[in-house]
Amino acid sequence: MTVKNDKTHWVYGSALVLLSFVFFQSFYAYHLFFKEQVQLFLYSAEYFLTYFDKPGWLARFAGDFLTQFFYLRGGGPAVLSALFLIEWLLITKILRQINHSSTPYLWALIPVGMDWVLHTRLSHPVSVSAGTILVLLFFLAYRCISNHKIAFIAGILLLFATYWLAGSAMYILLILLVLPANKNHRFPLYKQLVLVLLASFIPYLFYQKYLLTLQQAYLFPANQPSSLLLAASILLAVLFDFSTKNIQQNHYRILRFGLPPFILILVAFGLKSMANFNLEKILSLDSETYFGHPDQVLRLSEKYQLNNRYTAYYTNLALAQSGQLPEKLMEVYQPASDGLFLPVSQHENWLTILFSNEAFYLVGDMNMAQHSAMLGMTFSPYHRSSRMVKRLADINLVTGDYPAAAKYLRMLNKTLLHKKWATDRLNLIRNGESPNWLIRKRQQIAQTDSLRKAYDHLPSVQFLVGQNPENTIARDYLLCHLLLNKEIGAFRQLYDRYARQQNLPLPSAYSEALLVSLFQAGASQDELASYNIPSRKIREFINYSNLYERSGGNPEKLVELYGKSYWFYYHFATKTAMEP
Amino acid sequence: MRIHILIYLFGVLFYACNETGYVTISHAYPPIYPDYIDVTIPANIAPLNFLMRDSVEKLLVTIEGEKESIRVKGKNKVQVPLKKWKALLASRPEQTLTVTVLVKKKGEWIQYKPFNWHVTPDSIDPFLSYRLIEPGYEVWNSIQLVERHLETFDERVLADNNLTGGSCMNCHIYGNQDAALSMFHIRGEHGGTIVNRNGKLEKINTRTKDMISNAVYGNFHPTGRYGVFSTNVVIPELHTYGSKRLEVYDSAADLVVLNFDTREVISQPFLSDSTSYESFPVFSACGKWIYYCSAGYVPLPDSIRSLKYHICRTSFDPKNGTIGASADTLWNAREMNGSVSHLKTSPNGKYLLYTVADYGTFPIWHREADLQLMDLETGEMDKLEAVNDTCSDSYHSWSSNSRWFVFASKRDDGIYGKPYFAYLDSTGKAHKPFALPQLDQEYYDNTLKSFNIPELSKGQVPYDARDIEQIYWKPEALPVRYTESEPKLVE
Repeated sequence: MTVKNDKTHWVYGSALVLLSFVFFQSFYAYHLFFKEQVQLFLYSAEYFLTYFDKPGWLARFAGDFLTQFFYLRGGGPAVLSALFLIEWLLITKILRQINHSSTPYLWALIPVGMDWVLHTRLSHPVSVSAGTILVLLFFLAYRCISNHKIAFIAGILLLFATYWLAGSAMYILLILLVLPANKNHRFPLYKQLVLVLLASFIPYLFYQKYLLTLQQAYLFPANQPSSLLLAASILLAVLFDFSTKNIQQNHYRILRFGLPPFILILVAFGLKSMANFNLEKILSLDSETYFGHPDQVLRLSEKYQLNNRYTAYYTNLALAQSGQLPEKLMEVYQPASDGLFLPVSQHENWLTILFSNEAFYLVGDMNMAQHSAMLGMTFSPYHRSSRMVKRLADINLVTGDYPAAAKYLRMLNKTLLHKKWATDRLNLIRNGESPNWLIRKRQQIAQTDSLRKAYDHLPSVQFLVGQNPENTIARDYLLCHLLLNKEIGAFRQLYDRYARQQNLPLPSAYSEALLVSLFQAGASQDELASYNIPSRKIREFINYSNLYERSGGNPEKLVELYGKSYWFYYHFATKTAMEP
Repeated sequence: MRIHILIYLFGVLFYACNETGYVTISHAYPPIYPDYIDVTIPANIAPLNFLMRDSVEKLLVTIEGEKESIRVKGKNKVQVPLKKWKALLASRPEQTLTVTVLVKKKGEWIQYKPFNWHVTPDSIDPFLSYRLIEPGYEVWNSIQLVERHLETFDERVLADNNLTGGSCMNCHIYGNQDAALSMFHIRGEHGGTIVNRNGKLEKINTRTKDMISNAVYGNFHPTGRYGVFSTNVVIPELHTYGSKRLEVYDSAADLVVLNFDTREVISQPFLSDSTSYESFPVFSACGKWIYYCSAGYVPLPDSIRSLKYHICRTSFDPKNGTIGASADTLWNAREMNGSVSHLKTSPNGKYLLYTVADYGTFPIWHREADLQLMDLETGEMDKLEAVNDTCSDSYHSWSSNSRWFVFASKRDDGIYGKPYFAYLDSTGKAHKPFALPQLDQEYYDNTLKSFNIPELSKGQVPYDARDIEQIYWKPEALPVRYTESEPKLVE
């Protein structure tokens, strides 16, 4: 088989693209879900015009258009795979045109692999890939110009146009214009220098107009310098293709069979160093919470066994939703009360702020949930978030602020994939209906007013429970907050006030904490009996106390039997520095 | 035969002209957004574009003046061509425009009850500046100060915190509605009060060790030589009741006057002690008085509902730069059972415009907060019922002819403030306000930004965001010196 009639080259690109699909679908799906959640793409002419405020408007528009499909299961991997395939085809075609080499399809795998690796970062937008594809298409069109003088002028104009349409992907065009590999359009050195200087100068020329900092102007629409590695990888592909032309002729088979595994190893290395699988796990818990799957959150949390405040936060949310929080509180990692509420302040990273509204919404603290959702959206990279707008709409439906809810729902009504959700809720407003979920949420909210600071979680949740002791989720959050901070006296006092009369089965953490409190207070047998603590639990407490005494308070002797009891937590848990 | 053809052609022509066919007449006003039904507008305003709130297939709008008319088509919104609009307004300085809205809805044409736009020859100052910020109400991320030309839809960014290290920017205010005299505060490491006097920008550090904070709410003296400011230790707290949101109160608040020429800060003991909170000071149009809000000390936040601000007045001697030693109360909060904020004296010296809420000093999130107008000559108060709405109306500013004022209102959705303009006629009667026109009124639906402190000016300010970027990153802000004014009564 000769090089020319080798029709199997498409297998290489397809295989890499397929692998990337499997990777994103099976191991990295939640990053992609999350990317959709922190943007809001509207089908509106007014919204479309806002893209012209910054460079690379077409790339950003195309990128955001495609990102909306990340909302669908499989949508993100499918979109990225399609983009990678187009990149590979275009780069292959360009390399073949400019260098007439025999293995362009192999070298074209390098940029595709790089883009795959880069898309593992939340900060790498789809608009960078979209911009790359646009530039490659422009270059192919540009190749039709045969006259050198016109080609040079067209190159200059195209650099300006590319910055306007595709932003920093302009550098890819520059690479393709000036590289020596570009035989048909090889410009003399001074013209190449003119093009390089011009491309370096264009962002500087427009950064004032676009109200960007210089760094932003050179990166846009990318957020981080790392996204420029895609352009660098195209440069590498071109250089390798050019410099190995002889090797390609003489050692075609070696290259054909040796290069793909090598590139795959590089991709694997890139994924290892750039992908954040811990964050993927946290985002999986976050997204499953958003999708309304607490059982899945508990299943994933158990599988991951991650000891950080985010895992604890989502696990506690899921436990509370299923009424199991006080029963299973000690079965999962608890970083004191930091796993119940996440802080909302400018000192926190934007992800924490964005996550934080879930707990406030769950317990019924609508104003705090609104504050947190607004800040989450404000601090997210594009200051627009479909997920937060949905949450804000729901919050205002719950509080009965229909004009505010309608504002958010009207926005969502202009989306493709949240439109139905919004229409259903707009119909609720129009028809004055209150479905069960709304009735339940409204029963949770405070009916009187008080003031509190944004970080005063305990007084806030106590106020909610005071307003409505039947708000069992808030009550469990309140009591567990006290338990996790080892405030046993306050716990018993509030337990007596809000939970003791309910005659409900006593959850594990509460019974264990009550035993500690009653023991500390030297309570009588009658008093002990009045709490209806199961006798099995009392026997366990006696056994624990005896073992504690005998071991001289050695945790290693206790951990096997009692490591998941509140007694063990009470004796041995210490608060260390917060995890990132 | 020819006659038949002519009749046929006439019929076709007639049918084509009368494209609406049968029309159902509705006796209701059209559900347009923004609410531009029967509003008074200045002769120099941009077209009042609007959209239909209910879903329609076609929209035909006729704007009929006394001499000319405009017909505009759209799908569900109209954009009146600027040239035609200007010609229509120029055709007669004072006229009533009749707006007829015809829509095609589910295949049926409906004509709504026509409404009027009353055009007054009293023009409004042609430029408006405002701060665009997400109503996140405790911390910020992206902020812009923007200047809008009211006669067109042109906008210009005056400052952008993307260029100033993400620092917070307070709102931009003018002296005498003059674009050559304005200021705003930038917070942050390199921040200061940016003062524009005839295009020369200065960055001033308005805080000394004798003051409780940097300058916060302020106003220019008519001469431009002085600024009066409150200094506030601001505490934000959140309400627990759902539809209420944020409460901001001062744990301490004083009042100072800054001489921009000498950079000297003066105060009076009664304006800088801890027994009362002073805020929102402004000079009178003649420059001889300082109006300000004042409330007696109450334990906060427990007694927040008892925190009620009066309107007080003390004298000021612009010649010597001294503040009077005592104050009068013009509006007694206890008697009026309310709390006042955001004082603004009209440029003609006749009126004082202010916001009244049930309590406190931060009316933005108080639904009950309404504007009120005091006639400074007679002491009469007008509750401005034609102007106010059920949501917060506050942060107002006058046009230089004292016939128009702009204010931020949350009336559309309770969260996102928008500028509204109200006309005050020669008898002092206020008219129904209208929202700042946009080229595409969908902008208000799509934006997640709130308009803060809209301020009118006669001209364009002589700087832009790049000038502010440059001055922000300059190392040092000019310091000020604090002295306590000699107690001296000024007649």
